[in-house]
Amino acid sequence: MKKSPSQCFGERNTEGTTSSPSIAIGPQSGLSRRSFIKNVAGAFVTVNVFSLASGIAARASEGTWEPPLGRDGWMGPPGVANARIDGYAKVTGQKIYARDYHVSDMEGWPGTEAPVMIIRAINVDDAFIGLDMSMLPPDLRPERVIYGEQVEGKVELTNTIIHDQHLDQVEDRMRAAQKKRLESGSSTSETEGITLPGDFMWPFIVPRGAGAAFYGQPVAFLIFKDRATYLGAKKKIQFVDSFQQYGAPVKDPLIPPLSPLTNYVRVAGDGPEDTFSYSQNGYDDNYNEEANNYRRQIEQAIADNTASSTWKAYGSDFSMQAMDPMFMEPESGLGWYDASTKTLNLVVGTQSPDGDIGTLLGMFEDSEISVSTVNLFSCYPGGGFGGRDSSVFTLNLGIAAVMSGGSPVRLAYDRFEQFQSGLKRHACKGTTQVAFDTTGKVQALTSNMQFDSGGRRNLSPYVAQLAGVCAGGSYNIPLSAIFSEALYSTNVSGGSQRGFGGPQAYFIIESLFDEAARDFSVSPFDIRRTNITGPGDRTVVGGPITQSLQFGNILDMAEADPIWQNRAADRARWAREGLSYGVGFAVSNQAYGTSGDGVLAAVAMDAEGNFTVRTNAVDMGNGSATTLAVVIGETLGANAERVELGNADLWDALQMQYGSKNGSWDDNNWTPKSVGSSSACLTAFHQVHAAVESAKALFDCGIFPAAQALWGAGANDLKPSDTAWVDGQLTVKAGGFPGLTHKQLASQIMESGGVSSVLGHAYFQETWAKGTFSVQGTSHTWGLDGIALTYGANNSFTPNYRTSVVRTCPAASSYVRTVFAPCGNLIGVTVDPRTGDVVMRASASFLNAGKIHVEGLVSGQSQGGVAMAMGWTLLEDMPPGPEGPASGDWNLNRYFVAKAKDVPLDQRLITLTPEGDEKTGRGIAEAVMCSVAPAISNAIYDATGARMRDLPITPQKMREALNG
Amino acid sequence: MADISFILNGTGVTASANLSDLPLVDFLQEDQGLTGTKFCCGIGVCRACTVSVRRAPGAPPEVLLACSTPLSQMAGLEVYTVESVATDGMLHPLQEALLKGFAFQCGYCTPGFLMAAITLWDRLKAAPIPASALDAAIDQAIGDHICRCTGYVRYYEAIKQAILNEGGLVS
Ligand code: FES
Ligand code: FES
Repeated sequence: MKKSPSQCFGERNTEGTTSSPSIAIGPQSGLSRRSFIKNVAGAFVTVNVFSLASGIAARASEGTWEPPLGRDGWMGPPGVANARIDGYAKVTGQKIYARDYHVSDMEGWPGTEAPVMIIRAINVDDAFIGLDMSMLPPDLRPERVIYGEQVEGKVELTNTIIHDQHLDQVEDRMRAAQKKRLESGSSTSETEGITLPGDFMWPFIVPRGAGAAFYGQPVAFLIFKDRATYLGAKKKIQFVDSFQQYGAPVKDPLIPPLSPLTNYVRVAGDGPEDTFSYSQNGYDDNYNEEANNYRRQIEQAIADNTASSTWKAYGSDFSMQAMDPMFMEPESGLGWYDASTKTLNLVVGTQSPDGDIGTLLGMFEDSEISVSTVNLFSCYPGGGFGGRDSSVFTLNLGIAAVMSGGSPVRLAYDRFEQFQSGLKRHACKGTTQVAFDTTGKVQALTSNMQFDSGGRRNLSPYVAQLAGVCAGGSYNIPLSAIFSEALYSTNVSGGSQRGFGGPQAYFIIESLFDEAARDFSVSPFDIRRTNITGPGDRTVVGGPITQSLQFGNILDMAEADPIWQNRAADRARWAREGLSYGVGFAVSNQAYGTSGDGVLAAVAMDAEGNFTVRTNAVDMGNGSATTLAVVIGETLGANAERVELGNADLWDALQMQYGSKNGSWDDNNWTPKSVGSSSACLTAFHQVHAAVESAKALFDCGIFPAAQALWGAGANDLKPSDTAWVDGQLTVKAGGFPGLTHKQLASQIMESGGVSSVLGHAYFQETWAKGTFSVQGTSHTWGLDGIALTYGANNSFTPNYRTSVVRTCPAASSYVRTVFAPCGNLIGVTVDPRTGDVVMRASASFLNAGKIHVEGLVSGQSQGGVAMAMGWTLLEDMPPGPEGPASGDWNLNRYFVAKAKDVPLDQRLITLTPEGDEKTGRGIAEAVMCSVAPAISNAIYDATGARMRDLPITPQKMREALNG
Repeated sequence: MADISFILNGTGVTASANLSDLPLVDFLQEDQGLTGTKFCCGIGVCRACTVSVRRAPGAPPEVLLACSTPLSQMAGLEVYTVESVATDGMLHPLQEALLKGFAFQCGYCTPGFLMAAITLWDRLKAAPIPASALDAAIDQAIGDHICRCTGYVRYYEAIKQAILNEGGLVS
């Protein structure tokens, strides 16, 4: 029986334990639902987004379910969180993840769920012929077997290249282009006018007779009658290679490097301006030609100056393995296509609800299958780290749903399947040379990095691009030539993993700086002091650094830290146990955000005076929900009671245009970018800005006018800045007016039809765009470029376009990155000379996180970054090709991630006090991770004299290094 | 083969004999609707699926991995899952400590850590250990667990603090 939500959420059973916290979800469930209309190729599609995660907080405030910490239990005073807003649900095991849901939980869905199994290519050399169904007894056979040719015409690749050009021709032309590139030795992409492949270049399912383009590409979807059949069949065919049948060899798809390529060459000038740089010259028609000329000059300068002993150069090859994000919840979801109403229902946990919906609708654009409504139930993702950003999982679920013959389907990967199909951190090879003058000042750098993107493009070229920005480390380098590219391969696809190319780039540059410090006989702090970057300097792209970085403080604190100061005594102590101990240090200057970021948030006041924050962003565990709940506290005198995540409808409610094709800043409804997918590093600065500015707007044009009305004519001359929140009441600082409660203010807003919520969009590119808006006759300026408002109890947003805008600096578009979260890691390790085992013993991270919104979240993120990076450095190994997880038989018994006992408890995070008037947080989810690998490797050198340049540093590699 | 009966969160449950191969985690999630016990690796490594069991009434509690325990091994056991821990709306002190200590992030590993810690707690209730042995006992309880979001430090700190605050668990 399907229960109604009010009956079943957190209900007690007679034994006094919590019963199944199941919640019936559907249009009648009372869950937060947002709707919008999408125009897809001239047809209108209604999209309803139900936020399952928000239902949890919602129920708390509805009073049907009271968290034992009290309704305000998680919440401290305005601006303070005592716990995570979602913490109670998690610590009591409530249903919040997509994997927790079954069709029986879904109100109005018919029948039982049909489990789906995706069979994935284990052979990329030969044509896929079919599956050997004779391996399954008749009673275990799937109800339906979906091969690639059966979905042609039904689900389209949302990639214009496929629409415009036949795939075979595209491949042929790409092969020709690639051949030309190989013959000419050119490092730039010669694409012969071909539009390079988008994310979905290759079919979702390999058609029979064709070759798979990469390992793990689906070759068939099997849809089973029920769980028993599915489990029985799985036992018989999982891990059995001969279930898949292959025929004649196929040609290799030769694909040029994925666009865009990253080619950053910078020649500093004598004055503040550069002689040449990407940010200055990137729009020149012949930029690549000029850049390559300068590159050759830089290479020559290094050769000449090292020959004359004017400079000393340190250079080497580095390699790093692919890595699985290994988020704990394997991707899972439910789907049901109701042909009678042309409605596609999906239950998923994704990092990119906006993007997934867009791609999903694109799949059915020219399809025989008509979709007029999409209901997306957005769940809390059980970890993400980039691995759920534009993952093809949601699309696979959509395909299964429309091809099942009407049954609701459940697609729930096991860990083997997740390893075989999930997005990976890119394997990377790099060759870098860095040259110093005789005083230890860095003069020049050349760097070349290749990232293995695997079969699908995903965000690979952008990962290579950020690695290019990071290749120069945290240093002011007069001459630099950086080339970075993402290359198609037949491996499992790479994606936007935590650090986004930064960990790879910093491993290289920070290892080389350590090498130089040793050679110059200076401390790791001194060599960095001589070269560290800061305000007034430029990045390797040529963009100015304007933010306070505080690297000087980071270096001073690390040098004074006990791990460094006590290293001799610690070395002696460990030596008594037969272990070599060493300390290593490394820094990173990881950027947060992208070259331009659009973000939004809606802040609403209800009739009781309680606040809700809505966002399109998703909380992957990084704590954005909690952070967004408390950051409005200062402005609104109370934290948000609830936060609704994954609202893919909000952008549409603004009714704005975006993108250079659709307008410019001159159009008052235009912004450069709409919204992106969720990334943990976008919370503290970007999303917080949108929430705080929207809160200010709500105060200025909703709450303050309501207060004036309640205070009467005497308040006409007051300004918002004359007021202050005191103990939950809005007061006038100078006195003379009674304090007003949130409830009183809300009642006034509801009765007068005043502004009850503000949905604000903000755009950042070095600075925030600032819009001026006229609301009910009054002009206001906020750090927003678009708003939509609701009035009184009416919940529909009305766009309120700006009247003018202070736009972002046009030159900033070529700076690539402008904001940074500097971090230094000081790490002590032991090396067992007999076994080669490396164990991390102590770590201290020195982090410039700007203003800290919630300390517990920042330190948790930081510690998680250290643990994950330690795993990547020492434990997590994954060969490419069929030897790796592509084979379908990989799991945690051969892929080792850091367990609790592997991580030292002596882990400290030291955050720097913000300098000057910095009042904003910085996105730090990736920052701490970036310098961990080189700090460990440098510590190993300190301990043993062995320089490790190939990750992971396994005991075997360590033994080989120690034994020559 | 006979049907399989055991006690689940204080209530008797019976699984049909033809489910004897079914891992406990599937039975909990799909047949009982108790989805708090999590599936991650399915092969007994990550310990996200940890539940607490007593092999006989009054026997000391032990941890059990629900992903790699078929129902055939469950007959006669008392099983406790995360859903049983808070009683009458009151969080267990360990839950409160994890919550207030910001011990977890995405929370997917949390029921596993919690049930391992609860098992330790219940054992300490019955047989306190010297305070000096507590760190090792916590390490023993959760050292093999995997959490991909946190660096474990806050889990250790929260569990230790809750045990020390409770009184009577260490001597
Ligand atoms: S799910 Fe990993 S041990 Fe059970
Ligand atoms: S909190 Fe996400 S796996 Fe532990």
